[in-house]
Amino acid sequence: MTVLYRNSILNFKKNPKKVFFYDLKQEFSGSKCLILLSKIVKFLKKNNISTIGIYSKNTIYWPLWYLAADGCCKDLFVINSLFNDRLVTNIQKKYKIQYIVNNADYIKFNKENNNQNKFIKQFLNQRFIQKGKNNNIIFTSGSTGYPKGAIIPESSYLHVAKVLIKKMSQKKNDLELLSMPLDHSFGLARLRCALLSGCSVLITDGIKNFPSIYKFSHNNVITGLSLLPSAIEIIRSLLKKKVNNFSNRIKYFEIGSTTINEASRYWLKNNFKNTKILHHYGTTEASRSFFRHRGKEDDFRIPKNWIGNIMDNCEYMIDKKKVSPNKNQGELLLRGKNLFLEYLEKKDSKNKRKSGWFRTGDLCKEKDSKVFLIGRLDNQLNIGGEKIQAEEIEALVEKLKEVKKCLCFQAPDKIWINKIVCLIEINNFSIKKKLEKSILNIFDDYPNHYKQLTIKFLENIPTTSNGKKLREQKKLIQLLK
Amino acid sequence: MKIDLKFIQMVIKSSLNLKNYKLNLNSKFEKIPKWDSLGYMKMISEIESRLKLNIDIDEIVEANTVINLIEILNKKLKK
Repeated sequence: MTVLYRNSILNFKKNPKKVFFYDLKQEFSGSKCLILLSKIVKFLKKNNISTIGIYSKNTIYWPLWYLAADGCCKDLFVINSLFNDRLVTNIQKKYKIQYIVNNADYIKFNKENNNQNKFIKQFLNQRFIQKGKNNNIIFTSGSTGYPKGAIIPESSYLHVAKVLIKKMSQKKNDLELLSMPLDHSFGLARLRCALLSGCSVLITDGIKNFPSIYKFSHNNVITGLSLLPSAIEIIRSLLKKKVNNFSNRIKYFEIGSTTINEASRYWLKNNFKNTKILHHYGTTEASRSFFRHRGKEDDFRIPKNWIGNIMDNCEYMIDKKKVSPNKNQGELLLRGKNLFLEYLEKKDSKNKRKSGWFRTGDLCKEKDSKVFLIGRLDNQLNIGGEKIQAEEIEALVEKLKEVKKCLCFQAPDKIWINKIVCLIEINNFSIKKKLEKSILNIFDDYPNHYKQLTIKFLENIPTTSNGKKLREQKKLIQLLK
Repeated sequence: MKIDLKFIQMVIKSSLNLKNYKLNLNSKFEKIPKWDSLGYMKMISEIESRLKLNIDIDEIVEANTVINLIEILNKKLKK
């Protein structure tokens, strides 16, 4: 099908002067995109490359490689740019990826000087569309740090993109800030929406240069945003009273899938009055599954862990079989057009996909036809036979301003069989004793099994290569030795 | 009070949790190890709290290097 590729070529041809891709230093018009795309396609064809991996942070060239692969390759591996080189080499060998794109290639291709007119003519006359599969493989580290490749078929990612475009009323004259990593399903789905709608994008590597993005928005009206809640916090603190200069022209805004605090929700409600804001719940395997409104349509009466309304052509169920003793809770299962196909490794798919259902591993409860997220099923701690959700303890401890991060897991204990271990990330180690007391005080009014805490202070809590908290119990227990 | 390299160095070390990193006047913020959006936000908050002033985003759009930031802050303190 290669819909994104064909659609983009048509857009570039029809609008040779329109700028489709910006970064903070340069811009690529439709004609420039055709030149660069033709060079990349020529390279892929010449070298007979049908399996490609993109291993790079966001750059203005990223979408062009993505499009070229969409048009010419069977499988496109989107490799997390935070993975180390050794892991990438292993992935390349294991899955026989013929070519890995990195930043150096972007520079090389831009510097090559060719006779442009002849080049584009040849390019547009070629019939090079690869027949067969057209999968995107995205790696998810999960909670164990072991990267699993989720195969996302074209039918699935196009369905998600179409739904998002419709929900956001995204149009070709929009200009979206794409700052979230394109090697993650959130950012990549936003890129696909841009390519399908034919709108322009400003591509940045995060928002570490936000004042420059703000300056850019004075001359080029940014109408679309896609940010994680942590990024919202940052722009909130930098924009201060100037927020309306930025927010007034934002038409749509998609928020990624972690919880958002109340202060940010009120900030969105008060300052993005002309903006349609959707906050999604999703995973790499099902990048968008539920949506709830934020901003002007946010409903503060609904508990904050509500994950929203189910996406079009997707259904859910709560599997209560494995979860006890609380009968109202269960694992969230999803089925529908938005799902991945399977994992690269069959053993990974075995427990995750059955009869078309995808087991999310998220513990949820359902009330009045609304689904509420409780935490990860893997993160349930069993303390003296009582179940505690690790995230519950972590959220309580992280409320203390001296605590940067908290990670909880269970470790063997003589009396309780298991005890709770809290790893606490702090900057200032001189307040350790005082802080330990404050943490224990939090649980004064809680049942006894909450009080079986061992606290350990660290400069950095262990994380996976994706930057998520490491949940692999064996490795965590070693830290206590 | 006059803002100098020493002041910026102190703020950056503390906001980015850097131990042995030496800046010079021409250092670009984006080249500093651990530099990210959170670090930027922390740096601005720390400057605001130490100098007891409010920094407007329009004032820092050109602050890409240490010297730029020093000039901007000194101008602001003079007002």
